[in-house]
Amino acid sequence: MNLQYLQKNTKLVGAGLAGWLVGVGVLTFGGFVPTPYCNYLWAFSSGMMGMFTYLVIQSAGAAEKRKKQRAKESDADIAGKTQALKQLLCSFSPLAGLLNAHLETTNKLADDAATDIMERVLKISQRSEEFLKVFEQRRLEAQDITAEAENTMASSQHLLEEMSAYRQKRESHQQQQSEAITDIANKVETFKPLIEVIREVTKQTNLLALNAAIEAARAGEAGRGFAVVADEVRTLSNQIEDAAARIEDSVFQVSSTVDGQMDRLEEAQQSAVDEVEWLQTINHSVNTLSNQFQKAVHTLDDLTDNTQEAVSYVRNSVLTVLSRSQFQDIARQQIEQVQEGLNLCEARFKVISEQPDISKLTTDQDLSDIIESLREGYTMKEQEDIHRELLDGADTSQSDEPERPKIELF
Amino acid sequence: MAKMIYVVDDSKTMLMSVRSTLEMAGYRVETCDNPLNAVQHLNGNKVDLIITDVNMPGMNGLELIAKVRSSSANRFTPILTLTTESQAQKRDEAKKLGATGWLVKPVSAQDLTRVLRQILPGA
Repeated sequence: MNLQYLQKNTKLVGAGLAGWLVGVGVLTFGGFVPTPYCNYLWAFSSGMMGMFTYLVIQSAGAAEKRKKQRAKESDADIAGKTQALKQLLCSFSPLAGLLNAHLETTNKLADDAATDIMERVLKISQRSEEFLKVFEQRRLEAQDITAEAENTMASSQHLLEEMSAYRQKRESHQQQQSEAITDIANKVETFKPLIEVIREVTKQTNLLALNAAIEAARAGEAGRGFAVVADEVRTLSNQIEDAAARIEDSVFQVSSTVDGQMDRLEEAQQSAVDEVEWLQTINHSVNTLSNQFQKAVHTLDDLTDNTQEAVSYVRNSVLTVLSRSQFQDIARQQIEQVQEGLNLCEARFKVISEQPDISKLTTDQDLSDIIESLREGYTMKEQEDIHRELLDGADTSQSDEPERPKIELF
Repeated sequence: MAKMIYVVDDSKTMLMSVRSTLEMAGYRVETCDNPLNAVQHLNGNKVDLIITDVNMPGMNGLELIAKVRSSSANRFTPILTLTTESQAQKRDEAKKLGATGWLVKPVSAQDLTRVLRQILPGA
């Protein structure tokens, strides 16, 4: 136990001495200690008291000194902390400026990007519309061509039908001609036995004329006249035979002509058969061509329909992109609200940092008024919902409040 | 001739979105990103319908409606607000000032054109 310990624990030492004195009093005044020892005891006790008094006085001085030192240190500490707090508040200003600049850049980038996206999708839409217009134009042209081709094909078919009818008519005429010629040939053939009869008659007549001439010669002068008659008869018979030969020749010529004509008619009939086949082939080709053309036109129609569908899809997608692009305006306003909050905080911190004595801060200088001010500036339900969820602890998903319609006409 | 729609909004994204949507629907469209200039224009030029934002710098959409309604050119022209504003109080104020309808962003192209066809039949 040293002196410094005693100085620091004056109360404990004082209590010990007081106990000591009470004990000495009880011992001396109670007659427990013989009188000569009482004096020594009291003298020792007085000495102890004197020393204690000295210690108390010394201790009080040291305590005062320490108190002053502590106060000095405390003042210096507060001043330092105040300064640090002011510096902290001042440092918010560049931070707020930086955050504001970042947010503004974000806004601008998003705005430019949204505009660019819209311009591009509009160009896509424009191009697809132009493509559809060209396609439509081509389809109309194809329709005109189709109409013309169909007319041509209809005319061709009509002509083919006329040709077919003409061919049938001609076939009928040929048939009639053939029958007429066959009839003539048959009739001519009937002349042949008649010629033979004439020849036989002339032969007999010649023979008779010869016999008559012989008999006339025998008769002499009396038969002279008869001989002339017989001669005339023979001459007539020869003439008849010549006529029969000419008739036979004519019949032969007629017969040959009829045969030639019949051959030509047969050839013509064979050509008619070929013509029928050709006409059928042409008709089939025209029909095939017509069908193929119609198929091509249908394919073009289908293609146009598909293109229209695709362009319509592009158009609807573009309209959706245009609608969705409105998010940029909504996001911009939300970011501006955040910027407004940063600006208010910055202004508040600036005011606080400029106060000479930080201890004079009042309770109305917290940020609750800024929060309220932000709330008043909300324009969207989403902002209000976030605020209520974070600061009021409300569960906005369970809200009974009916949602307002997005479109109201008054 | 196609109907003329005048659109006022401080956001160029919104102006482009609405202009393109309406032009694709067959309307003629003029846009303005400054409400003060818009009021000046609408004082002397009759249009068939006006679409305006509400929260704009310089002059808000409600003031714009009041000024347009006091002009002679577009006193009876239908005015639609197209805004993020969801406060019933402002909507009521717009109605009182003579707005024809209140549309909250984002609005789809189909909804926008449907509303316009309803207000401008035969367009």
